Amino acid sequence: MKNIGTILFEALKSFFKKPATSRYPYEKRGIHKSFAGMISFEQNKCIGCQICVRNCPAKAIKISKAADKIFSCELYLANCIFCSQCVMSCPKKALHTTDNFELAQTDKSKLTVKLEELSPESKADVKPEAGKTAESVQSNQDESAADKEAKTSGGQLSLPNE
Amino acid sequence: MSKKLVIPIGPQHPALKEPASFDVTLQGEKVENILVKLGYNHRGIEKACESKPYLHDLYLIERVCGICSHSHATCFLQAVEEIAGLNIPMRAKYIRSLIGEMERIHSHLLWLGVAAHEIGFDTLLMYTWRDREIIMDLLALLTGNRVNYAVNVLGGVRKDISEEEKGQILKAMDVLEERTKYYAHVTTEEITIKKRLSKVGYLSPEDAVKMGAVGPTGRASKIKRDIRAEDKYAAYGEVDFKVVSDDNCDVYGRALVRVGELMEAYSIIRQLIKKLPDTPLKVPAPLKIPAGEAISRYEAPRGEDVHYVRANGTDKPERVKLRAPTLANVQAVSTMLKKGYLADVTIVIAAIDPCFSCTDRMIIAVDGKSEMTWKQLREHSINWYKKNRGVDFTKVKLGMKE
Repeated sequence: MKNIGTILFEALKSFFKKPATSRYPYEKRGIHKSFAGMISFEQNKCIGCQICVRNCPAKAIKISKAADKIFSCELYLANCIFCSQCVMSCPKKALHTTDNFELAQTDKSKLTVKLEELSPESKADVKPEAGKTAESVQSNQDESAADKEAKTSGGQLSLPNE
Repeated sequence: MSKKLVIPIGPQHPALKEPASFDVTLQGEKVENILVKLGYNHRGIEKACESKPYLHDLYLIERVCGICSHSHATCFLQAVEEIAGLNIPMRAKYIRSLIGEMERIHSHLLWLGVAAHEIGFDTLLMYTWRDREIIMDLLALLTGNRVNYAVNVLGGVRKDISEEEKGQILKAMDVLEERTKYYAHVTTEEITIKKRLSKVGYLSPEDAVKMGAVGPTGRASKIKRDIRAEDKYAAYGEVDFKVVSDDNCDVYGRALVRVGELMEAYSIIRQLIKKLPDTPLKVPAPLKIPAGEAISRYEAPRGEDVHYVRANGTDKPERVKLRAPTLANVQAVSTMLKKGYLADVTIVIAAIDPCFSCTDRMIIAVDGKSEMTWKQLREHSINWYKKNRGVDFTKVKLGMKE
């Protein structure tokens, strides 16, 4: 009888709890700014020393000369293991980690990203999968804005409520 | 008298998360014999290490295992740093231990969930995995990644822990400790767990030594051995903790040991945070490692992890050999299951917390003989430890009957 009481108590308690899971594409949890997602590239800082290319354990990054003293960076997302060794190796701090982790694609060619083309505003265009409607893209951007707000408010660790 | 029946379990089987094959010989419902076959996940990592510089090897070794990635990376680095003669700053050692303990928490919580799932107690699976998210988020916050943290570099660590992060770690530890107390209560009081796991997969202390069981599997059979306490690597010499062991010798004991280790891990993390010294994070490391060889041991969540590295003065190692804890433990499965029931096979296999992709290595035996006998090997290791580490192992008893 004691056991049944315990079970009932647990079951009733669960009725009044918020779910531990989140409705992912619609609700996003804030990610800390130091998350090692896709890297970003600052073209004006790069000196083309190729250290990142040599140190990359997955051969995922390519630096090529675009013009005199201007270099472009190409990232193969399918190869990248997100270890951020390139960020650590860069002597001029031209590479940074971003919190962009939604990198799944249905089109293979989209996994190769030319990084100098990406200004902060157009980054959201890479995120959504091919085949999504303009509406969902729009809502995606709205959410990412809401996300940013959440992130700037400290990037606190969220603890599920008991 | 019924006929003997051989049932193949695996390589692809709903109860096993990784490919490994077990041929179970049955007499009725009772297991007569079990044959373990490994080798379905051989990836050639050791050989690949020889063709890559140390910097790349570090990331490759980290991917030996998805759960104990930090264990393998630290174990490998300890060996390389010993060859190169690098003195790692204390703060780096503390951070390595800290991440190592967090990894243990996430691994043991995961195991508790998997074991509960194998016995049909899915509520516990949901509960533990929900709480595991706290530690996963914490690891993502501290290192930038959820599983392959890449926090180690040759000569130290990459990421520092700020005061704000310290507070978050302590807060998470309080929550997790509260939850783990509840799980300890569930595992000791819940009658279904007790009845399902008691006297299942019995491994006597003598057999545990004979079969070479390590980690929680060995400790649940009264073998009180823990590399953290014996060979105090990283910052384990600076903290107080007790080696959790149990005398149940069965799957129930293995569960109790892991829950006990969770509680110890919280206390270790609190001590590490409190004592975190203020030193640089790393020392400059050379690209080329001087010729030499080293063996490094590490207490991974699943047991003792052993890495051997031989350097030849270039930027690539000449030989890397790793022995994951599952290889030591998987031999004991056949002993555990003798005279057991077919229904117990999955939970007994799950109880050693197997990781078959870590384990798969290729060994070529020349004429089927090893070059050293067991006695010679033991003598060699005792001398080696006396000379290099100043530890005397002559008095350590090998078996229960010696």
